[in-house]
Amino acid sequence: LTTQLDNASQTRLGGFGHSSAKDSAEAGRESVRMALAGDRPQAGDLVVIFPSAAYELEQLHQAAIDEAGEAAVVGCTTVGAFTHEQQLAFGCVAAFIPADGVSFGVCHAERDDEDISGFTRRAAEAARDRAGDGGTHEVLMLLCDGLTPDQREMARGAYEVTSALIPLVGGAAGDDLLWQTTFTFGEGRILPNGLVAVWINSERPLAVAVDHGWRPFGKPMLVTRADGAVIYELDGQPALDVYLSERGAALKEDGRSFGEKCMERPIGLPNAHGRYDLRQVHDTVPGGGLVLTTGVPEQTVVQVMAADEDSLLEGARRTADAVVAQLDEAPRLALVFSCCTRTPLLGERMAEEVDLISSSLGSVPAGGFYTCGEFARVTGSTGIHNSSVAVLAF
Amino acid sequence: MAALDEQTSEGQAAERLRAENAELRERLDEAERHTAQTLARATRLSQVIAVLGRDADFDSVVERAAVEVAELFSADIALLMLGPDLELEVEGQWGVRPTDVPVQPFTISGLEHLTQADPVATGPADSLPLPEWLGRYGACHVAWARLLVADASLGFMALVRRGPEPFERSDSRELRAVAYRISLALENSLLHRRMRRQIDRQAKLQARTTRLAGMLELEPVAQVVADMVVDDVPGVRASVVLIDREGQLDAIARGGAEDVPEGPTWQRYPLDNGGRPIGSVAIADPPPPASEEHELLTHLLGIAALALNKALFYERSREQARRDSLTGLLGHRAFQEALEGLSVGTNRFSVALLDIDDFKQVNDRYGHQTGDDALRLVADALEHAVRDGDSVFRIGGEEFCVILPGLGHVDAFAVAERLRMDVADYASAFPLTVSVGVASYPSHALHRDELLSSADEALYASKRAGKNRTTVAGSAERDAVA
Repeated sequence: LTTQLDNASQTRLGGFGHSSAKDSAEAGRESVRMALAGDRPQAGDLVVIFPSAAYELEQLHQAAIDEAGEAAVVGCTTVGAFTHEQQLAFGCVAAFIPADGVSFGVCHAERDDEDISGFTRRAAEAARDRAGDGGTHEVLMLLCDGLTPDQREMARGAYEVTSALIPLVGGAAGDDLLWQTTFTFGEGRILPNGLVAVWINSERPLAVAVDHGWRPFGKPMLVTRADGAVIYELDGQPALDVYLSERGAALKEDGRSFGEKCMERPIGLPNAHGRYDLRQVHDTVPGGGLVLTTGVPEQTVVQVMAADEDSLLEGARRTADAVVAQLDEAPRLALVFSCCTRTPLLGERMAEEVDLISSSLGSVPAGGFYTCGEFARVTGSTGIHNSSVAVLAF
Repeated sequence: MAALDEQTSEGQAAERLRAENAELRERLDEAERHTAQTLARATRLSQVIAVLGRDADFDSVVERAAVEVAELFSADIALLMLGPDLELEVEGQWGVRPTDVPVQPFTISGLEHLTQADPVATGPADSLPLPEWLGRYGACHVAWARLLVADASLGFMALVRRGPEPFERSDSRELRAVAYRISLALENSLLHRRMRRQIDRQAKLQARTTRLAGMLELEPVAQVVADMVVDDVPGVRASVVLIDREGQLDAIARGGAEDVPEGPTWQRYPLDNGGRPIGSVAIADPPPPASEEHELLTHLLGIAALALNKALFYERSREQARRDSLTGLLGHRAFQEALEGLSVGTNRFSVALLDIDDFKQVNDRYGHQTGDDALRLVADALEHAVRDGDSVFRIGGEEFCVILPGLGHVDAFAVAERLRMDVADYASAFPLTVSVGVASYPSHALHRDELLSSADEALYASKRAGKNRTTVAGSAERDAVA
């Protein structure tokens, strides 16, 4: 993978790098160096890193900063990362996005659980102000702690700044499914409960799209009691019991966490466009409640969803098609935010997802990480997704 | 040849099957999409009711309504514009930059036809009115709903989709029901807000009353009244509290903006206590009569009148306590306070101590009533004889003091002499004279006690020298004899 020059405009195209080095500093350095491909980062450039949470993150982050030179470094920990050439269950992926024709405003802040929406709004406003004027195309990218109590509130706060005009994209950090602590990087700091807001102003069109490939599997159920990200009752019964009976197969006692066992049967919320917004079941609470990563309002209809390898890849293809439909020419590169819950079903075909996206966009460099929640909004007001794949193309 | 035909035929069959398969898949997708839409619509209204039922606070209701309705109808923008048709204001919105929302009330023409009979209109953005300030949002489809409770219009709700998918007929039907529920929630929250405001007002009034009840000094009370009127009554820019003192109104406190020009914006509200006028409050930009705000103002002025009356009573009582009840002159404590106030300054002044000569004999010979008359006569004589700015005190049984600001001992001596002579000349049924001792600050003493002591010594010098005379402290050569 190399940073290429667009011969016509002499625009630096950027690229991806990766490393599976065991040494933390080496992983940070190697992945960024590969992404730079010999280019010398300049002030205003952006380097995005997606390392495994198991690394010594201070060392990895510092090495990435040293290697990135004048470029700003942002990123988050993952449930695995990838480029269109390499899948990494353990390792670090780095993306180099040159500032040519683009300006980035970064705000990295610690979350305020009392006011997630307001906190996100303030972070987005700060990022927007730092990006400055310039560029006719804008996108807000969010990278947040994967344990954020209600990612829907985060999307709402962001929407107050983006309004209907500016697309939103991004993903929630992971810690290899330990669900203990995830980290975000930005402004020289590592935060365990943070949010990185990156406001992108671009002269060239930017494209954001999301899709999933899941289909309804069980019968429709009504959320009769819910509070925040916890569904207590479905159809007036304990939510856990109803969900288990609808998912069609008993949970195996195989040492995996409850959330992992539920990955292949997320919950779908039908929307007014006739599509489904997905929500992953993450945990349970005493009394038979289901914990999601995102709030579901009472009186919402939900259905258990199912997918197979082909349908998930079809979802990725639709995402790529939607990106293509927004652009007049092939993009420079694509950042991909793919939900970690897609990986068990894709199995050995995991790499096909990013390959398909890359090739659909014109064989452009593509890479990203496996997320614990995806942000993506182009139209409609819903900006938070699970079990989906979102793409930001530059 | 036959084999080739067979192969061709198999190929065509496979092609046909593939085409059928693709068509079936498309139809399945379409059916799935319809099912999802139907399911989403089935509970939209109940979701809105559930969300709106969570909170009665007006701001929360409009904010939640905008967010939820946008999400439920997959709209990019939702607007709640409330008020009369000609003075709409955006009270809740989703998807518009706050800087794009107009601050001033506005109107949207072309929505007059939305009535109770048909309150909803949906269609392409170019077929329906759209506020100018939404122009840059690239609206493709718009839905309007008039918010009605009975036949009263609360305003409008607008939904905007930027994507190509139009609002369908079923959307219109549900939007009508949703708009009705939102209208009810808004009306409830407005009632709730009014009640909340009244409760807050009562609590504030109680706090004000409690505070004023604990205050006695007139000027601080007047300041609280002046501030209270400006802070609590919406729209009032400034206030001045005027107190009636012997028919003259003194402005003793001012609240609010200082740059309010005199003119028709000011109105004076009288304050009285059981019909007896005690002053008034002048108010800049008072609320219109019969308004809720005016009712509050009346209430506040009632509290103010009570508090100011109590403070005036206290002021009078204190003044009375400072005065001698027999002669009406200021008493010993007032004398000490006045002297203290003067001696910390740098300006010179003098004191003249006066003592009625042979007062015991007056009492013994003519009785105590005559003795009292003598005291009143001297007090009267002194009050008539002093200059403007001089103060007369009765500081002991038959002892008086006059404070003479600005005078050194030479001038003070002259004044004291005039006082002495005026007393002697005052019409009386018996001989009445006083002896006087004069001392000056700073020439005779720098401290209060020292000054009084000097004056006292001078007074006794006058007594020793034969009474009915004036002596200046420490200056025997200046002693003068009448």
